[in-house]
Amino acid sequence: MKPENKVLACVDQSRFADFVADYAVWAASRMDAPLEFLHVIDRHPEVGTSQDHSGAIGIDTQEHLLEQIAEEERARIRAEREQGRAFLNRLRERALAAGAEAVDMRQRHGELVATLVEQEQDVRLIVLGRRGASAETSGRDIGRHVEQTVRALHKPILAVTDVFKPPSACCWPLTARA
Amino acid sequence: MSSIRQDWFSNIRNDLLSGVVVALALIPEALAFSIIAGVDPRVGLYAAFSMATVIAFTGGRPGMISAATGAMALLMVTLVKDHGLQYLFAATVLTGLLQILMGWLGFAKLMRFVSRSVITGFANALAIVIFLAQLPELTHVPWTVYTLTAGGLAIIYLFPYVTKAVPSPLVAIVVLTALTVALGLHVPTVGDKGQLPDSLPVFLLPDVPLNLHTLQIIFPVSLAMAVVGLLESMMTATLIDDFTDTPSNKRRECMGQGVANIVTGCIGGMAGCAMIGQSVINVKSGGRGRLSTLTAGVVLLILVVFLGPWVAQIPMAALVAVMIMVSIGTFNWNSFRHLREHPKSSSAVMLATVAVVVATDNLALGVLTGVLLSGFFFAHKVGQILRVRSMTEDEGRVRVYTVTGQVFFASAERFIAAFDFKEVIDKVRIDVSRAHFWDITAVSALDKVILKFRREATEVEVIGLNEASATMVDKFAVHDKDGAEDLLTSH
Repeated sequence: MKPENKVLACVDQSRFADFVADYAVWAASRMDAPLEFLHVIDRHPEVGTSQDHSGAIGIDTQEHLLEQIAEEERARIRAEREQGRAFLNRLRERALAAGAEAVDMRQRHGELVATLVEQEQDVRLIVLGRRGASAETSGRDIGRHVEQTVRALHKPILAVTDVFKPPSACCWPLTARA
Repeated sequence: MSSIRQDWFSNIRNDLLSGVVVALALIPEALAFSIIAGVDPRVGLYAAFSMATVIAFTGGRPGMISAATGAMALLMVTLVKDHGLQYLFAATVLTGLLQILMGWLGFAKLMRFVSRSVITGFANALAIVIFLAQLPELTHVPWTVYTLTAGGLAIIYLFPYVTKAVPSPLVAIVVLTALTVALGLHVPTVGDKGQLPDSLPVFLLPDVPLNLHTLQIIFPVSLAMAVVGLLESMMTATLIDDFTDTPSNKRRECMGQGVANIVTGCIGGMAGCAMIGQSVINVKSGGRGRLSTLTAGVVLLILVVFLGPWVAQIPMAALVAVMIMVSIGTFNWNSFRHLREHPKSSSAVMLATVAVVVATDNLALGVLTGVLLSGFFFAHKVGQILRVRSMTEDEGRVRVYTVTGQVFFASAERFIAAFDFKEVIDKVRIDVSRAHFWDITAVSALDKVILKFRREATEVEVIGLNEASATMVDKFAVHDKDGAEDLLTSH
């Protein structure tokens, strides 16, 4: 199969998503490449949500517990999926309104970096926010995903800072190393 | 780094809370089975503390609870009675060493031979054994004990309808203790059962002569304990895997159990392993990470060391009620409800496992029985898959037997019986290219058939023996050669 060579816009549900979308639309139209929005949903099986500290186990507790945990997870994942879909759809509309032509969207479970490594082959450019959802709570200038992504991938990455402004100049860094 | 954070600190609040809830369920089991094993409650409580604390770091299944268990205690009764406490500590250390060795050799992989029915039987047997261990506290006692036990059970199961924020076993223990003290009831209390810890445990090597005689005494006990400990730990780990939909490192768990037992033996505790009931309580209370196990161990020690005088006042009836709860929660009630619907062989395996454990108090023997029995049933069933058809050729001079299916020790007799040796015929051709010869029994059965025909002056030709015997993997070792898959599936 021929690689798609798409522009992959990685978004989370923060205010940076719109900026990422705008830059990705710009990049895609300049490169004449299809655009895809990627939303990665973390799963946290290591987090228990139970509020039942009664500590009492009785007849068929094991079966009921398994059913209950599975059911809670199902409900949560369904809600997340639906919310994520609506969010991606809004970005897609925004991209279409901004003049993008081929816009697709995708939701994945897992970790962002691991997901990107899997998808890397079909990608020409990755666009992501310099910071994300944790920007409000952490004081870091660069989100942790950016650093991990830059280290793990071998494709061009565009890290977006703020409101879209078409780049007018380009700075080419060179090192003495071969 | 990220996995350390994930294992330890991703669920802090719930892990701490559930650890406290679990600690309360550990104390009764440690106490009850120290008494069964014939040692001071101190030995069981130190063991519960050290097993839980060490396994929190060394185990391969975050969120699983290990401590002093009934399954292990039942195996050490005779050793303690005949040789005393120091030999128990030595046996506990040896158990740990054996578990590390077995873990290293891949014990976890053997678990695939333990069928669903055996696992269910194991859990049921464990529940019955835990329940039976409570009976001594319920015989030849004043009627107030029965009232207190019933009251305790009522609180445990009804209090959650009032609030689920407080562990109902704790409420039961506190209420019953307060009642006994306030009313001045004369019922057996924990203090009557022997010495409780009055200090933190200290590190001491077991005081036994290091010679062959000692090894002869402790080795059989240690071996049984090592096997039972790993079995219960593997089964519990699988249960937690299912609950949390996450994998565990079974090999690390085996070796971790070993390390935990070595440490436990060296601080004056009895051997322990993972516990099904308490692990279920942990998951139910929201515990998922290593922190929950560590909290359970540490809280348990704090409770018994610093609240020792209070713990001594707890009536045994309250602990019996908690253990009956653990027993009910460990038992697989569905397996009895569906006894008739399940295949007879599965039910027989489950019941045999339970029966052997209850008769011998040795869970290892029960599992061995179950595994052997399921092996027999399987061999019998597969032995049915054998067809021999025959047809004459060449105007009645030649008869061709076509064999399809599995020929091995369980079907060899049926294989021989399928041939008609009385038939008067020139030549017999046996086509085994679509059969599998699994063992020496199959080959010698074929030899026998050939010989019998020769005696009748019938010429015998065998077709496709190479293909058929390719399945005798240990002889031809095709299993590790290219094309083994094709050989096994093509004909």
